[in-house]
Amino acid sequence: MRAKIFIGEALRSLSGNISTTVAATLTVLIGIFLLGLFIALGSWVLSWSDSVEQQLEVRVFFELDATPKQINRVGDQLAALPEASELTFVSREEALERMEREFPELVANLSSNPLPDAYEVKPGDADDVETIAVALEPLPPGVESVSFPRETTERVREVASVIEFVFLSVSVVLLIASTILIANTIRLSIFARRREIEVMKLVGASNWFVRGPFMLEGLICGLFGSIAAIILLFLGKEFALPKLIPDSLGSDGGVHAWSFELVALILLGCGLLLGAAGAGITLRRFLRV
Amino acid sequence: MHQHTQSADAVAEPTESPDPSNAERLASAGAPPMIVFDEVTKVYEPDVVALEAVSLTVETGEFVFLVGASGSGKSTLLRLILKELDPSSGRVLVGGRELGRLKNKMIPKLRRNVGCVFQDYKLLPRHTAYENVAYALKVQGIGQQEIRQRVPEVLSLVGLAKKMSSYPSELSGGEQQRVSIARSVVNGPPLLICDEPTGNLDPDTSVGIMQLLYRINMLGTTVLMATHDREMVDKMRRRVIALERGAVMRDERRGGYGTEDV
Repeated sequence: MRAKIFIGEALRSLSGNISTTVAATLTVLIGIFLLGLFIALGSWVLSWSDSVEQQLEVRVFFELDATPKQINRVGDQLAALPEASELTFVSREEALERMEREFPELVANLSSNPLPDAYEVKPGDADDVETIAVALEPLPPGVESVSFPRETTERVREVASVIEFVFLSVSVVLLIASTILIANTIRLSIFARRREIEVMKLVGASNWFVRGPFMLEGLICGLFGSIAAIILLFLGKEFALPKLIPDSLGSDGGVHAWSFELVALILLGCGLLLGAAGAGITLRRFLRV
Repeated sequence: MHQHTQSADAVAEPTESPDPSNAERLASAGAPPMIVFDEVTKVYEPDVVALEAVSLTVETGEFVFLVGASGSGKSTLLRLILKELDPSSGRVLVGGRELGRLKNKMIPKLRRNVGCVFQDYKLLPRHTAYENVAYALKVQGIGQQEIRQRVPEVLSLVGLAKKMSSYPSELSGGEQQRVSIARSVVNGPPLLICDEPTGNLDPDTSVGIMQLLYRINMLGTTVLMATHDREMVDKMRRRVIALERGAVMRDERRGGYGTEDV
């Protein structure tokens, strides 16, 4: 019964105030579209920097005639390091198999296996790559060399942290900006109708009775605005993105933005919340009659 | 309702029908006074005194005019009754209930029992006459069936049976005020407050509105009406409370608008 009245009132004033309805919906659309863009872009970049960091590891190569005892001792030493989060032993055979998989043409003509046994150590934090490498100096018996990507490490770390910072601050600013923008649009529309609200209160409507239809209006604007934004983002993803980004980069293994469905869901939630909460909160000031 | 048409006509010639017996009858039945102001002072920040130590009592069933120049405190007094404002000191009782003790949550309930009519009608612009009246019932959660029955009834009482589906912009000032009156009485409130209901209307239309208010009073509703309409007040010979600079200057059972020099 009450829901029916609310829906009726909300639809009536939505259609009665076409211009503010459109303004509010478009505001939501723009805000949510930008937010979606940044979530997609940002999550892609985070995933990229993650994957680069994932690839950072210290490799410990053994001499071809290293004894199992020597290998085990180094293994124990590595396992004892607090910085090492993952320790993998790659035997000569495994190394060769791996190489066959990745670069078959290189392996095709080999008469014997030139690859040594090795340990791969992944650090818990990309910062610790060097610490781990230094821990093995001087080289223990049986170890031929320790390699780690010194230059890349620092570069990637710097770039990633800058990107993370930029992404986070931009999306926070964007979120705040679109909230303010939407609240402002709603305030304008409510301000235009403050007399109506006053009348409703004087006739004996409770605050919730006045607020209900307004929040429903906000919800409807939020719904349509965010659906439109999601459609735009979808079109962009399907048609514009493939042209902008070459395939080779797009299909980089393990690097991808959050799934579109997830982003769409987040955006829809934000849109609805912004619309309804924006209307409800803004209304408070006008309800004091 | 139509059996009262006779007495409503009396508005035009009030001297022939001196009829405050309505109020006396109801008052003697032991009902508490409809409105009591007890030493009420209202000061607007920072230091504008709108009402100063006003005390007055309006009995159930009375028809009372509230007169006074602009700024004399009429509107403040009415707004105190609706608890749109709270007094700076003193007590306001409506229907025996002290408004100072009324919780904010209960204000809507108070207002449903106090009909109000304003100079500027205060109709919802996107609602038809019917819907404007129905809104006052909807806010109380009254069902469609009852709304469909009561709204046309009260609209024909105010003479707008044929304009139910007109929007306020399509109605004349007098008609809009009739819708507003219909809305204010559709709940059957015991008290009706009017803030210069004829202030924007021409004399002929005003008479019609007054007749309507008179008829509503005859049906048992207490009416408190702030007005500037000297002619109307003089003709009606009802109780007149005159305010001047926030104080009650005069309270006559069958008064006129005021002394010649006002």
